[in-house]
Amino acid sequence: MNKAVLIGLLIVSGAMGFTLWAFSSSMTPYVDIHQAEQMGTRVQVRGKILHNTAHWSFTKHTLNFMLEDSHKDEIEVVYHGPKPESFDTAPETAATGIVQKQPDGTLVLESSSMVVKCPSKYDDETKSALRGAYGKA
Amino acid sequence: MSVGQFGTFAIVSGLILSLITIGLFIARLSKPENRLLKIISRLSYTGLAASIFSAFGALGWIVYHREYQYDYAVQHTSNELYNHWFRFAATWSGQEGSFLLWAVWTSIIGFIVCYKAGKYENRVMPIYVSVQGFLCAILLKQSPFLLFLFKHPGMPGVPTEGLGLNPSLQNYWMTIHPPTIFFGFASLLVPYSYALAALIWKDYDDWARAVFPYALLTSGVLGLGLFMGGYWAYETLGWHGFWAWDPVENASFFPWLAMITLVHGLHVQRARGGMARTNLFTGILGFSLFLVGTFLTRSGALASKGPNGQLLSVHAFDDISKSGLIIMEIMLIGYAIVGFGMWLLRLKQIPKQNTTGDNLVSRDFAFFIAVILMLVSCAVVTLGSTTPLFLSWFHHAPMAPQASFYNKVMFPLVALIAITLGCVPWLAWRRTDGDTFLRKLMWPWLISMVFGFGLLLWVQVAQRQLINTLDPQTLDSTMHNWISPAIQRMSVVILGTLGFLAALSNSMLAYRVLRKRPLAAGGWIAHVGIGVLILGVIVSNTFEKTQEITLKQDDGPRTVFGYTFDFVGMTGKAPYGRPIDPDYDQNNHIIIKVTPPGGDSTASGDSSLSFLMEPRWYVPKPSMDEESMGNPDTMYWPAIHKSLGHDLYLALASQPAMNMYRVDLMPGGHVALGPYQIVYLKPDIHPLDYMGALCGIVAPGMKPIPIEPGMKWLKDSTGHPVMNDQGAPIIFKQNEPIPGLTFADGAPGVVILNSLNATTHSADLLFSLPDMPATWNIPLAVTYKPWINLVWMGVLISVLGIMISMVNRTIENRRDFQAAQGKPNKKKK
Repeated sequence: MNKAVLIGLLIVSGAMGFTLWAFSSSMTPYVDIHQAEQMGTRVQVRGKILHNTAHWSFTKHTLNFMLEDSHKDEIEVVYHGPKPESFDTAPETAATGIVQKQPDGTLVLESSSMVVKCPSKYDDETKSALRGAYGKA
Repeated sequence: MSVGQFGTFAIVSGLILSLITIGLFIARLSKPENRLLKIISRLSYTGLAASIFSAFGALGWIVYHREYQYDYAVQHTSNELYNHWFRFAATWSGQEGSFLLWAVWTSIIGFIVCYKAGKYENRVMPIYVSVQGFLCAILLKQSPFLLFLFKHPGMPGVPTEGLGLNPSLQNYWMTIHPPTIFFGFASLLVPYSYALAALIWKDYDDWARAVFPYALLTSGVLGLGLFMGGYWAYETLGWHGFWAWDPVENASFFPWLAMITLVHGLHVQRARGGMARTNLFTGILGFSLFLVGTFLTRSGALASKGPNGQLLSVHAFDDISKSGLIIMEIMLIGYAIVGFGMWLLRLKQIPKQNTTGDNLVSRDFAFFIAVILMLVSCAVVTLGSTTPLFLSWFHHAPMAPQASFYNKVMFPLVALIAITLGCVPWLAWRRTDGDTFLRKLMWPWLISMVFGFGLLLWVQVAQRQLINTLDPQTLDSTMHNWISPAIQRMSVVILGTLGFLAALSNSMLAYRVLRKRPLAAGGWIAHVGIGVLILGVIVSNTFEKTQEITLKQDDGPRTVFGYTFDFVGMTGKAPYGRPIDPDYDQNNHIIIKVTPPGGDSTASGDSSLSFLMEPRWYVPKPSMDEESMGNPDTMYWPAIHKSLGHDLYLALASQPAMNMYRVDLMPGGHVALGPYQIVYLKPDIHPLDYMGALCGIVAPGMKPIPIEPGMKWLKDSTGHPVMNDQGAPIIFKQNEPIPGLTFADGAPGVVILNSLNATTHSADLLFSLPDMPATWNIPLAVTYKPWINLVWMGVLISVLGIMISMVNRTIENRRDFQAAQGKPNKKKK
C-alpha cells in the first residue's frame, strides 16, 4: 500500500470518528423532567408552558417560566436569548439545556434553545383559510 | 378544450412520447447510420419537449390569470398579488410547479445533449429521457390541473380568492433563484447519463472528455443558485446570516459537492489518466444525491412535525401525495441501484491507473487529497441532513442535527481543503522537487503569516467586545462553542490565514496564466474565490456584533456601535391602528435615521453623512379567516446599509408595540385626557359573544362623540366559542375608529377596550387621539457585519472561474473533435 492511499485512509477514518463524536454530542435526547434532573447532561424537555409564571427580562435577555411535563412534574426554565416570537400564544415548548442546581438548592433548566409549538398554525390551514374565502365571496 | 384539459393532455402526451423516444434511440443503437431513424427520434424528442413546455405554459396561464376553478391557482396565488413577475413566479411556488420547472429545464438541456453528443447520442439519450418520463408520471399522479371542486368536493362553489403566495417568497429572488437552482438540478442528469452509458458500453475514458463541460456548467450554475439562495435569506429572513445548514439548503449543497468532486477527478483523468473509477462513481452520485435531496425535502419527512410540532426546516414544502411519493421512491431507488449497481459490476474491469504513487510532493497527490476531502464533506452533509429520514424509519422522534454539528465537522475539513488550495499552484504533475516547491511557496506563505498576525491582533482586540455582545443563543450556534475561547480564537486565525493563503497563491498563478492563456486560468480563479469565501465567512462571523435596542418615539436617538439611530416615523396606516386592523397596510416601512460614527446626529447639525434605513413589517391579509385574526402571522424584513467594508443590518427584534394612553373608569365615571373628556356610561355584555363599553368623548369645541369599544369571542362555524389549548375562550379586541377626530394624515383616532371586569364592570380603555397620539416602541436588533462582501465576492469569483473553465473545455473538445475528423486514425492518449 502506498503512502498516498495510507494518508487518504487516515483522513477518511479520522473524519468518520470525528463526525460520529460530533453527531452524538449534537443530538440531544428527549427526556421527561425527572430524567433531566437525574442526567445532568444536555437534554430536551418537552412540556406545557405555564404562562402565568412567565417573565421576560429585557435587560438580562432571559425568559423565566415553569414547564410542566406529561407526568405533571414542573421545573423552572431559564431561557437565554431572544424571546421566541410566538411564545406568548404557544401552549407547548421543547427546551434544550442542562439542569443545574441553584445556590438556593432549586433545580433549574438552563436553556439555550427552545422550539415553540404554534397554536393551530399548521392545523388544517388550507381548509380554514378556504372557509374564509367563502365568507368573502 | 379548457386550459386544464390541455395541460393534462400535454403531460399524457409527454409520458407517451418519452416512451416512444426511448424506444427510438435504443433502436438507433443497432442502426447508427440510419438517417430516417435519426430524424424521427429527434423529432420525437422535440415533441416530448414541446409537450412539457405546453404543460408548463398551461400551468403558468392558470396561475397568472388566477383561474380559481383550478386548485393550484387557489393554493398559490391571490387577487392581491399584482406584480406581474410574482404572478408568474407563483407557478413554481408549489410542489407540482417546481417538478414542471425541473422537467422544462431537463427538456431544454436535453436538446444540447442530443445535438452535441455525437456518437454518444444513442447511448445517453434513452437514460436521459427516462427521467422526463418519470416526471410526467409524477405530474399525472399529482396533477396541478385538478379542478378545485374535484379536489374539495365538500365546497359549495369556486372561490373568488386564492390563498396567495407566501410573503417571504414575494421577493425579486423568487423570479430568478428557483429557475437557476432547478437548471443546476436538471443538468445533474447529464453526468449521470454519461457515466451510466460509459459503464454500460465500457467506455471508461472518452466519456470524461465529453462530460467535462457539462460537469463544469452544473457546478457553476448550482454554485450561482446557492449564492442566490444565501443572499435571499440574508436579505429577507432577518437573522443576519446566509447559511443555516437547513436540510433544504443542504439538499442543494451536497449535489454541488459531488459535482465539484467530479470536476477535479475529470481534470486528473484528462491530464494524467487516473481516477477513472472515482469519476464514474461521482458522476452517478451527483444525480442520485439530488434525488435523495428531492425526496428528503418533499416527502414530508421534514414537515412531519413530530412530537413538538416544530418544522425541521424553514423552507417547508407541502406534502406530496402518496401516489406521487411512490413514483419518487421508485425513481430514487431505481436510479441509485442501476447506477451504483452498474458501477460495482464493472469495477474490476475499469482500468486502474495510480498516478500518485509515492510522490507526495505532486499535483497528483494534491488532487487526490482534494477529492477525498470533498467526498468526505459531501458524505457528512448528506448523512446529517438525512437523519430525520433514518429516524422516521425507526419510528423515532424526528430530529435534525443542529448547525453546530456541521460547523464542528466542516471546520477541520475546510482547513485541510484550504491548505491544499494554498499549495496546489506550486505543485507540478508527477513530481515536484521539494526545495523548488518550498521556494515558490515561501513568499505567499510569508505574506499570509503577516496577514495572520494582523488577524490575531484584531481578534485579540475585538474579543472583549465580542464576549459582551454575543448572546448565548448566538454563542450556541457559532462555530466554536465546544472549545475554550483561546483555542477558538486560534482556530479562527488559522482558518482565516489559510483562506488568505489559498486566495493569494491562486491569484498569483491565475495572474501568470491569464497573461499567457486566459481561458486556462478558470480553475485558479475559482480557487481564488473559494479562498476569499473562507476568509469572508471567518471574518464576517467572528467580528460580527449584535445588540438589541428599543427605540422609543419621542425619546430621542440611541447609539450602538458608534451609530446613532433615531426613529423618524412609519409609513402606511399602521401608526394609529393595530396590526389586526382590516385597514392595515401590509407594507409598513419603519423609517430610522442613522448617523454613522463621525457624523452629526443632532437635529440642527449637518446630516450629510446620515442615511435612512427602513426595516419593514408585514402582516398578511387579516380577514381571510377569523381564526387567523387572533394570531396574525407577521413578518419582518430587515434593512441593510451596505458599504464596501461592512454591512449595517437592522431587523425588528419583535413586534413594534404601541404605547397608547390608558384610562381606567367605573360605569358612570369620567376623566380628562389632555384636552379631551372621556365618559363611560355603562357596559354592554352578551356572554360568549360580545362585550363592549358604551362611552363618549368630548373634544374642545366639538359635540360629544359616542363610542363603543368592544371585544368579541372567536366562534367556530356552528356558533360555539373557540377555546384555546388552555381551555379558555379566545377573545380578541377591536380597534374602534373615532370618526370625528382625525389626525393630520386623515387617519381616525382610535379607542380599544383593553379589559372589562365582569363583576365590577370597570373598563380599561386605550386611546390614540390627535392631541394625544400613541407612541411607538420599536425593538431593533442592530448587527454590524464586517467584510460580509467577501462572502458574496468569493462565490461570484468562483462561479466566474468555473464558467471560464467550461468555455475552455468546450473549445478544447471542439478542437479535439475537429482534429479527430481530420485525422480519423489519430490515436488517443
